[in-house]
Amino acid sequence: MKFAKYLSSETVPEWRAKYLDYRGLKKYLKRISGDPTIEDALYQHSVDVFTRPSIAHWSNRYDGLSTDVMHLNSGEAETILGQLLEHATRPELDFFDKLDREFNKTVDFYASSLVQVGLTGG
Amino acid sequence: VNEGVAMQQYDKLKKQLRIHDSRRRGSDDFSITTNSESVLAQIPMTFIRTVTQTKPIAFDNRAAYKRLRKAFMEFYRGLLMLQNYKVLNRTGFAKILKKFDKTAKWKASELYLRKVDLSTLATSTTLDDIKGAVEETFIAHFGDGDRRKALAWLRIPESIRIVSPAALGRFGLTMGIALPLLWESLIHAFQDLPKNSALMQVYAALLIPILLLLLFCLNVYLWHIYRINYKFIFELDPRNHLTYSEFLEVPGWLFALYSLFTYLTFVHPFLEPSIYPAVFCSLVVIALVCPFKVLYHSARLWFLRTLGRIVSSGYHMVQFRDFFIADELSSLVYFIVTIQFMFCSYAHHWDTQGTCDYQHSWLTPTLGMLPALWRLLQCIRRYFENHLVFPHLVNGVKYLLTIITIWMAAVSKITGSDVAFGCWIVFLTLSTLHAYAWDILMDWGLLEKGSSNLLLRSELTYPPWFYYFAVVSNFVLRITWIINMSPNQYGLWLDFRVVAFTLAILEVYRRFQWNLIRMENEHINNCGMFRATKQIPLPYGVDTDEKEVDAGMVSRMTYDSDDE
Repeated sequence: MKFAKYLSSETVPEWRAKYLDYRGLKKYLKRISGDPTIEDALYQHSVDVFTRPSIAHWSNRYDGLSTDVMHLNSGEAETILGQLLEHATRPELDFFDKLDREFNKTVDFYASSLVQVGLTGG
Repeated sequence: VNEGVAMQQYDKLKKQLRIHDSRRRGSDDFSITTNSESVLAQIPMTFIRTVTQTKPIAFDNRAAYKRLRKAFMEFYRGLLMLQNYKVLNRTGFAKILKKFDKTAKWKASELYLRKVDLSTLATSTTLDDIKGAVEETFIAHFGDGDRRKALAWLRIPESIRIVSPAALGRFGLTMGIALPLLWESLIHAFQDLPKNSALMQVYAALLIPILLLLLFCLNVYLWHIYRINYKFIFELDPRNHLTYSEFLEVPGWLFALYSLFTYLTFVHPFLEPSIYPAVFCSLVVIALVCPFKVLYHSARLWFLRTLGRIVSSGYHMVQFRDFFIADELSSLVYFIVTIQFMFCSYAHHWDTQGTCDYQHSWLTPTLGMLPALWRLLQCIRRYFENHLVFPHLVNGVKYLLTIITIWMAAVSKITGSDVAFGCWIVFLTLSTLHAYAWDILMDWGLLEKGSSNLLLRSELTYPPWFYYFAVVSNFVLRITWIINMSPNQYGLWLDFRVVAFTLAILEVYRRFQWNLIRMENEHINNCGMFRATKQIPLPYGVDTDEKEVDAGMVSRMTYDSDDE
């Protein structure tokens, strides 16, 4: 089964708005792949074409060394990701904006639910 | 640990929960405690913290035991949902990031997922701890000493989610039996019309509740498809209820039985034909009240209990199911009134010419007003609960108008008075307009201010065209009484019995449409509050004034240590 379908069939209906918006995120991905060419997009959004390979460079570094990633704390992971995103295209940045929003939404809801059922905080 | 300690800890628990034995008359009065949500949400937690012994607690009454057990089960269900929430979102982030890597051709997934995995969403072990603690406590105090049984009570059975193909097959089978039989019966019935007309009228009436049930199944199916949580709204047991496919069997078998009896009556009467409707009704009633654990016993019990609550409206706190099912009943007025005709016919040995003219009987308005009366009593009861003139009394006026209209109709028909006829028209118009406005504004929540959908509301579950269609068709169906009122001098309208039957079918359809949006509106309200677990009222009064917790509280575990 497609994950989007699985997700919507498994959600608690009343909380639907609080799950990550998988379908919405996929639309943002479409915009990334929908760019005529990455190079064109880079040009349009005035990102330096020649720094682009550095994304590949950085990410490849972590690609082969996933144990390294496992040792990062969340601040470090975020910093590195931030550095990479300096070279990202507009649609890519939009995707991560959206992803951050979805991430904060879910974390907030989860944390507040824990408080509500009296598990933490209260 | 001896009995004394057990009692001591139980008393302590009651103190912790700020509850005191103040049993009131009638179990529903306990629901007053639902207002103190913060207290109730923590019942299982307080219980776990307070009761440290593992020897089963000696509850001082059975109701306390049952309610607390229910609170535990509901709390545990909430934990399962949270856990499921956590897992689904984690999986979602992983999946979408993998897709990103593929699309953008560089690898961000591991870095981002690292961030996800270090957030509360993934690290918090609280949930698992609590789940374990709830399980252990539940097994110790509510499991009747049987670990496996206790765990089975807590967990949500997988079968509750699965559509039963066997049940669907049986529904197909019943329909396959029913339709040819009914067709054959109809042909025979119409061949000998004047003689059969009384019996046909009875069968016409009996068909209405079956149709309503069938359409109600379609309601349930559509709610299921559109993920509207009717089970929660009806407060069905999350661990034990019919799936829509099982529910479909009920009207299926009823319809098959019904068709068989029409066949026996009109085609092959081995006995006196008039005996069959009575046999059919008896069979249905017997099946409904059968005390044995067959034929969906717990579902039947739920239904009977709801009927009981409706008939004794005013004595209970009004739950959603009470007024929803009462609303269904108000679409069965034709059936209720015609059943009276059936009894009358039996009393007069089916020598019915003129003797059983229910159109001109005082019994008709008396019976016909019952559903509206029950709804009126429910509205009054709700007004006394929270003293809100709007909506409860305004809604009550709607039913009062309905009742007056029903009586005016009877007075007008029986006395032939023109004044009464005029009053009837006036009240009918008022009642129709009131009811229609209530449908649109309150029951369906449409015409919302500042809605992004023209004249509807911002949150819509079904396709928008359906709402527009429903708004218009509901109006047309609400004023079908015009057909009944219209002068008949050109013989344009058929026999009044045929008209009445047609109107009854239209009313059943209107109810189906109303149900769809009424339930959806309720669901959207729940979604607005992210309310997915219910508060279990306790068999005690809860002191909400004091919020301090005893200093000497015994704590078996500390639960706030999950943050790094």
